[in-house]
Amino acid sequence: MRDWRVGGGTLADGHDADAATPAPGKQTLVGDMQLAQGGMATSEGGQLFSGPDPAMTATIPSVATPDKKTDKNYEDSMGVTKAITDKAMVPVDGVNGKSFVAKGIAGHKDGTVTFTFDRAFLGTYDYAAAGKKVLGVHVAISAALAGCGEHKDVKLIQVLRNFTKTAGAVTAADPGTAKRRERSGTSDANAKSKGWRVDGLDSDTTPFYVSDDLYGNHGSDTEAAKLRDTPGNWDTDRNVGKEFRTCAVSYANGAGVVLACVDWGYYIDDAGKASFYPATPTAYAGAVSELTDAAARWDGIAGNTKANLKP
Amino acid sequence: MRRALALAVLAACSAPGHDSKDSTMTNTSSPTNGDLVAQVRAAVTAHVPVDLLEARIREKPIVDTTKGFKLDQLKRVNFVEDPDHPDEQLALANARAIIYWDRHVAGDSNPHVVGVQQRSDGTTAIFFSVILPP
Repeated sequence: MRDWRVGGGTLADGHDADAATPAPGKQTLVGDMQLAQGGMATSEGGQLFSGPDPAMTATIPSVATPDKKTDKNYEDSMGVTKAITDKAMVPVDGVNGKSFVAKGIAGHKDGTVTFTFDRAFLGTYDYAAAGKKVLGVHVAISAALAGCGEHKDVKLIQVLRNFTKTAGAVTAADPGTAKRRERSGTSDANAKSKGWRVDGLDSDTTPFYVSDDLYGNHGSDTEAAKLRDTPGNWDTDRNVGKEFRTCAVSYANGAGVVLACVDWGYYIDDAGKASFYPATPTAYAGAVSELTDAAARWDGIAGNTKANLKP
Repeated sequence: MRRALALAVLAACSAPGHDSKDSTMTNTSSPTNGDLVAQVRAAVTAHVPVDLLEARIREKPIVDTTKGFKLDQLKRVNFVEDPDHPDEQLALANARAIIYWDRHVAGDSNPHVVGVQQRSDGTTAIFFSVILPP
């Protein structure tokens, strides 16, 4: 086993020159000690595992931190701001601004993960990148930890499935691309939680949703993790939807421990009416099989950084 | 010989079944699909600067990052391989500027686009892609 520092070089004698070099935005003053004591990503069998991120602990700003992206920055970039102003997208009653709390986290009876839908809107917006209108939802979800013991840092993994309804029953729908089918286990007759896949672009190789601060941030016990997403379908599509499981994962003990998840999604009926699906999100402690099965499938795909979730 | 080869390549890309609307070559102010692809290819071959492509092609692009659309806004766009052009894909991570147009391919609600990517080294290349809903 070889140790690697996330975003940096290999340690030598417990000291890493890179860590002492001021990086834009922050400088880790106690980085050497932390790195020597843990907080490492590890490589096994040529595969880099995602360990706790040393940059997220005990860092002291030494250089002006670039402005963190806000929900408004994201909404402006997605064309959602105009849709909200024009009332083409409207707040989802009972969800927008509401919190959903998972209790009893990872063996900590009083531990909680609070998922807050800072933003939850439903409707149509102009998707500038495609020059078309999209009908769907816009969410900005925060995940705040409290009393979770050793689990102080979290990353968000989101899984989803496309679905349709047949005679009122929900069935998995084709996800649209070969890569998504591979991630969904489409061609595997024995696939568990078939249809569910880790959310990401076809080109993504990391299982974590946040790859850029426009789309959110990882979290800690002092800062909520954040995820911004605006999924939908073309506004001409009917009887289509997506279900999501957004999960907070801690790597405090090496393998990923799923602290809690929240379920949400949307559905567009035959008449073109969109609704939040389920109508009210559900938050719960621990992992759900859709997540662990999809993550295991993800881990089996060559070239992917493994989610490495604890069973 | 070289001219014949160029004509053959253009003809191949215009053949029915390759691009469903590529076969009509007209000289109108709003290019057809085939005309659009041919114009974009010709512009790349002629090394037309990326910021002048919109004026050269004479059709409004969906996106032109030289005219204010930020590259960052494309980071999580679901660009997938166009099955008609698997060898000419977008490499967003290595792009300095991008411009693309809708090819208006019938029978698919997902936009099929043709465009030009300017790489970080300044070179340009044509690309084809299909955009999925977010």
